[in-house]
Amino acid sequence: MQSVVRIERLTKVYEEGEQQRVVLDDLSVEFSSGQFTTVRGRSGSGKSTLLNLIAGIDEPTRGQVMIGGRSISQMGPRERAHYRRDNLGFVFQFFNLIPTLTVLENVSLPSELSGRSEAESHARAAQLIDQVGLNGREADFPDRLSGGEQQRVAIARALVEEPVLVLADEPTGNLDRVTGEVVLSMLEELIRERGLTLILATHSHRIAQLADQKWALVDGKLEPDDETPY
Amino acid sequence: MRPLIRAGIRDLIRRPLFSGLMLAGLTLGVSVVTAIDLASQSAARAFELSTDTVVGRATHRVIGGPTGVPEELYAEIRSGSGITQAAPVVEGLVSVLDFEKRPMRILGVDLFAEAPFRDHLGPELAFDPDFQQFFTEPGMVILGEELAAANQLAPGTELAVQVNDRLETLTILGIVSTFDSSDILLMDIAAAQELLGASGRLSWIDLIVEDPGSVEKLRSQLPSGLSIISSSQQRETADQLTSAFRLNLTALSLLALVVGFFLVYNTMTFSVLSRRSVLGTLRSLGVSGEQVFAQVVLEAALVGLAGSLLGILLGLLLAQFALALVTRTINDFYFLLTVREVTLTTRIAVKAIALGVGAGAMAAIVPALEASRVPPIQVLRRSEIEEGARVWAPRIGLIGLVLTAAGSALFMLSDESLARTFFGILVVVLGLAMMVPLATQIFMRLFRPLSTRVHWRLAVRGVTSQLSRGGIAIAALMVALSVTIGIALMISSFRATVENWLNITLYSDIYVSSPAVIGNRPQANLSPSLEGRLAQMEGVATVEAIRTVRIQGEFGELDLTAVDPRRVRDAGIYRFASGSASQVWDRVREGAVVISESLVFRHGTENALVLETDAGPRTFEVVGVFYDYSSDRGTVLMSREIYLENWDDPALSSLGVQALADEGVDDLAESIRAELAGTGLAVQDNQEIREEALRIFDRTFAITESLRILAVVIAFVGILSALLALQLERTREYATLQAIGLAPEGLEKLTYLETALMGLSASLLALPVGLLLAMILIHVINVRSFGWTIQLAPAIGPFLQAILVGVAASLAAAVYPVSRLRKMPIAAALRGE
Repeated sequence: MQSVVRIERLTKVYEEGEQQRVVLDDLSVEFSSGQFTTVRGRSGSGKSTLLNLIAGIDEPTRGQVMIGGRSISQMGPRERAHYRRDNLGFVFQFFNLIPTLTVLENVSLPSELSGRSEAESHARAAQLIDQVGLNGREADFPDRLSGGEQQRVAIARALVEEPVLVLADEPTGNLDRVTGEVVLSMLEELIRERGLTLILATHSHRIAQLADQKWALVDGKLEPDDETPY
Repeated sequence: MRPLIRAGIRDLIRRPLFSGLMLAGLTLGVSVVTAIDLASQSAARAFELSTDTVVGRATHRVIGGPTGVPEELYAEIRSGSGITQAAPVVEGLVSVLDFEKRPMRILGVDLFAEAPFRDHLGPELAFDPDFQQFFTEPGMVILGEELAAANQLAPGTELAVQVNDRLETLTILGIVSTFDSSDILLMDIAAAQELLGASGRLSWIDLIVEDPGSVEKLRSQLPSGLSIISSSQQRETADQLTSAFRLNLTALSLLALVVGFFLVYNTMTFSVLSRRSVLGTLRSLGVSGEQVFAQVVLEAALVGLAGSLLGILLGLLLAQFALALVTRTINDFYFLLTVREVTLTTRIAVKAIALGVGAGAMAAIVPALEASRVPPIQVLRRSEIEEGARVWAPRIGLIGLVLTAAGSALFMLSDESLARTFFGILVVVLGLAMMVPLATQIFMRLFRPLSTRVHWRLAVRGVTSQLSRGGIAIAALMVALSVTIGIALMISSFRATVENWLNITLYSDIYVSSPAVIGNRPQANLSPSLEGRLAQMEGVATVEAIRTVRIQGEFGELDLTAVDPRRVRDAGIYRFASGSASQVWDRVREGAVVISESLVFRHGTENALVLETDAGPRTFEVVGVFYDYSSDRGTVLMSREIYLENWDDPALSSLGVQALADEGVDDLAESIRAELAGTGLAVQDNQEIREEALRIFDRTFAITESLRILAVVIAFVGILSALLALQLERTREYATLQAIGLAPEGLEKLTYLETALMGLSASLLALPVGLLLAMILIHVINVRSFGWTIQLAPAIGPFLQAILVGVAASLAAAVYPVSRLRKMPIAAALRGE
């Protein structure tokens, strides 16, 4: 299976006062195309850092993230932004919707950034809004929606440009269990029907069970997730 | 409450940039008001001191026509009226050549009669054996130590002065500490009469009379042409003359504070928004909405207090600059005034603190209400505020419309009260500012179809969606820019009107006058023989003798200019005339007068005017009203022949010379200068006079210009703080945009576009508002303040300048926020750190 992302000897160290905290320690791993991968770890284990490094919104201390044979850290800020725009969809734990844009405007944003016309962007967005079950809420502002609805908007936004890779950082971490399950199954369904690659960071053992490939992040190292509770 | 206040103060300290900007806005606003107050008060105080030095303890004054009071009257009053305390005074102007021709007042007194009136001399001088020279030698003067110290003068120093049409030398006999005024040279009365060419005449006689009956008795005994006025009347005249000028300055300075007020509102709103979760937590801990409200208002009041104190310090510095401009204008337009230092009084300090604290607290009321309504724990929803702003924009706009109408009605209906007029205008400006959010919404809707590029679309959407914050910044900038347009248009229209007026009124080729000019009027007494002397010169076609004096009319002091009515003035100088220009001058030759529009404005007289002539009060028919921008006191124009029939005053003030058609004006001016060598008289051609008049005009408006620039500076600080607030509040939003693929330069472009759109909206909205303000300033304020008719001169410059300033200020204000965005770590910003 073709790899989408290859991580080579990736290390991230945070300076905390005079102390150094190694969050990711010499990681090397490949994420395959069309696979649903989970990275499981407890809070503060470095899951979000790993996703941020893959997305190119954080800089590694050492090592590199290779996408399509190119190292992200060798890209300039502009190139990295374009890489995200053209290849990536991001779903955050706290939704990160633009509060002053409506549902339709939020979802169509990546399309507009890709240079599509407003009409075309809105048409694509409307289709996805329908698919995530928010038909009729297009004109609402995010704060008018429940947590689950907001995350559905975030999923629609992540998928609107049909990205190669979707990164989801604790997408159900801020939702109750039932809502979380609904959102997750929706995400999984949409990803699978499109054949997209999903890397999902979670602390949940149950979510990890859904994945094709499971990793656990323990003490800065990635190891196959043997579903051991921690 | 104490922990709350501590938390609030720490919050202000932790955000030095925002607190600093809020402080800067208030400091600037308060400093401008304080500076104008200080300058105005110091000028008033200097005038008071100068008047006190001259008036002393006199209760009344006997005055006459242009040549004053006959000397014999003094002896008659002392012997026959029963009034024992009387002192004769001779006053006149000289220009001191050693002090760059600075005009100074000669005060000639009889020291033997002075003691009850003025304390001119300290004992140290009176017992000086050389002091007898004061009475025996001509040209001996005594002056105050402040003047001496400022010019390094010592006893024995000689001063070259221009007196009327002569150059003379005065000698400093003594320097005294008892003089508070810096523009007076004290002389013996006889020496002063000789110096000023006023033998046998007094300028006035001072009296100390307690009993009103004695005043009335003396009044009835006075020869015709003489009258008695009280000292308080005299002091009031000066106050009334400059009150409109001072009120105009105060109103302008308050505008700076209004812009500062917007700034505080903006910053406090931001502060509340950024602390909403903390405020929510506090509410959940049992803090009441009222306590949160009080805390926010108190914080703003504290910043207001700090701003006031800094504003007072900055105001003291600015006042030095403002004082020079204010006194120069008073000298140019009203009377002689020398004032060097500003003194901070308790009243000004208290007013500054009250304004700063009041503006701070008042501006915080709406944000404080917003804060007090934060429900416990739950976060105030930003979208609700923005949605609220969008829904409220039309309603606030409607309230603005009502306020604009009410303000307009207020200033249109209050014809007399200038203060009420200004208040009305303030309400109009506030009303128009309230319409800004709605107008911005409409603008953005108009812009939207043009937005094919994504950044443009996002920017247009961004401005609309940030209306609750951006709207205030746009309103503040709009107010500042419209004031800029209004004032610039008013000044350029006024200048164009004056230029046109000068073209019409300056009809002679060359003018001869004394350099001692105060209040735009030549004060000297030139010899009547000059007329004949100049007329005989080669190349001279005609010479017009002009006499300008201050006389008493039925409404008090006014200026009278006696001219040659054979020269028919251009019809353009009349606002109203009964008949053609030549018919008017025929009637003037017969004894009628033409009066200035300021006189009509001040006293409402249109048909006839009573003037105090040497033969007593006489009524003159008014046959026209002319435009006169040289003075707002009021001027009467009459035939010199009629003037000489009514006043025994053959002296001249200036002469207008018309060159023969084939004679070069420059050559003739040179010949006249040669002819008049040694007299010190100024010989200026038409062009020079015109340039000088426009120079005076420009310096009169220098302070207005400065205030205009300050308003823009404050607005700039306002837009900067608003943008910073917006950027900080949207950090996470921007991080999200970058995370989903917006390139860094795209984000910068978006920020610049948004701010440019805000600047453009403010500028475009300022165009009609500025024009409206200009019309109000020209047709209402100027007329009600000075009685001048000004033609609105359409000029594109102020409008283009406003658009440029608005957009440039917005873009410049975005530079710092953009540099912050550039350094923003996306991952941390996404976590909301």
